[in-house]
Amino acid sequence: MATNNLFKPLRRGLLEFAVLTTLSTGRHYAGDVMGRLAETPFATQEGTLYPLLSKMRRDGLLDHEWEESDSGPPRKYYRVTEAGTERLRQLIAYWKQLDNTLTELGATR
Amino acid sequence: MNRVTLINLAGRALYVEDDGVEAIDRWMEVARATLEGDPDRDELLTDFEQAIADRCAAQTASASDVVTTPTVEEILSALGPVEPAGTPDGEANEGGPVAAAELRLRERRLYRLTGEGEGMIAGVCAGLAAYVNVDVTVVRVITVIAALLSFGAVALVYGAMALIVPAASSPDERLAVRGYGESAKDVMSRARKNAGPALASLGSTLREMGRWLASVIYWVLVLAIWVVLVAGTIAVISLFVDSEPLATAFDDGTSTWTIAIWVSSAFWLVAGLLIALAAGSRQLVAPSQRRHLGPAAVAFWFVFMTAAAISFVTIPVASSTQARDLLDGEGRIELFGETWCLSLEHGLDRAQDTDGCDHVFATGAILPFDGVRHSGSFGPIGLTNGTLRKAGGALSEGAA
Repeated sequence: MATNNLFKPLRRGLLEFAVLTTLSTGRHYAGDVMGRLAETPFATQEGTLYPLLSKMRRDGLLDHEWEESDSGPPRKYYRVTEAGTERLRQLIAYWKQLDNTLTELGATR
Repeated sequence: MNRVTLINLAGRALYVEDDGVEAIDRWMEVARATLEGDPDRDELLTDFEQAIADRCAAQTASASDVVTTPTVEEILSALGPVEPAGTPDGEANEGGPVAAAELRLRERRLYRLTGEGEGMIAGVCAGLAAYVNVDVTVVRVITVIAALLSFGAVALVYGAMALIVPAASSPDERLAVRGYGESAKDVMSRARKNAGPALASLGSTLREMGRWLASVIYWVLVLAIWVVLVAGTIAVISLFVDSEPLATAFDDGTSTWTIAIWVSSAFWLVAGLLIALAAGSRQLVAPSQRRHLGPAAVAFWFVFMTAAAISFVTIPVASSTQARDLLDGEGRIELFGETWCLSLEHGLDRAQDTDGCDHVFATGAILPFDGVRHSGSFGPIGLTNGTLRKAGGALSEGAA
């Protein structure tokens, strides 16, 4: 639990990365994204995820469309835009760079 | 006993316990305050509503099942605190996201609310409305009326408050006006307050009274507006009562006043309801007052029906009773060189002249009742203080 809180800022900073990665596999609605992240360290709640999704859409990384669902009201399905794919590529590259840097600094021990 | 309300949450009808409804309202209000400045705020709020609705529906076996307060609280804590995305680090650390645990009520503080969609001038009314938990429109209307009645003194008070009362500058202060959220300072002050619980409860009693008073004032205002509209219309109609078209239009004996009351009351009742419906009842009626709409409409309807019925029954009777006092022993009356006799037919007092021409006693007037319009030459004859008077026009038989 201690580590859980300790690394919270780190996870929060990486949440956008995680969401982009999740959505890069296809179209999902918000509940889907949350379900996929639920079992990972990036488990999140509506209160955090919804504002993030809407901000990412504003930034042009995501796009959404309404789709009728069998049960209940229509749902918003999100997908990654080209700009989002590009951002994901940059993030992955940067992540590798960070990883390499840390390894070079001796983080393998 | 737990009361249950049927609510519409993102298009889904749900039966929720009243405390649960309040918890949802509060959560949404906190979310609204936290997302202040987010361009997609309204859309996000709708999404949250839908998330709550989805989770509520998932918790109940059928649509008619009641969502209990503990379930609502569980759902709301599962949604987690609303965190605005992309908040700069410094700001996030200072104000911080509003955690679910911070929904507890705290001592309210008065701030002016100057944000977009809040205050209109300096945010004084908006702040006061949030402070006493009353619809801001009600506070504004009361303020404007008070400013007019006090010849501007209230406007001076408004100006003074705009200078003295600080404007809410952070989400936390916005919440403090409504009594939500909790800071270390509040915990301290609450601990001190506990030493004198009488004072604290006095504060909440005053607030309760204020809310009740605001509710009463609200409905008195609604009633007053309706009465003013109806009275105004009657006044306008009465301008035409003695003129030719209306005098002849109503010569079947119905009191023109009765018609004026019926027409104007019905018109403004229907018009008022239509306006309220058109505005989605959102701006015109405070959320806490909406459930009174139906009963209020029924009450209005009942009151003006009764008033109209009373005027319909009493006014003609009163006038013909006056006329009856002038009759001789055989029920005859000498009028303008003719002898009239009085008979009662179909509940109307009828006067018959010696030529067999029917007339009817209406409100303070004897009008011809022979199916022929006596326009122009035949003005109504007024009965004032038991004296017959010609109200206007030369009295001569028309086509009859």
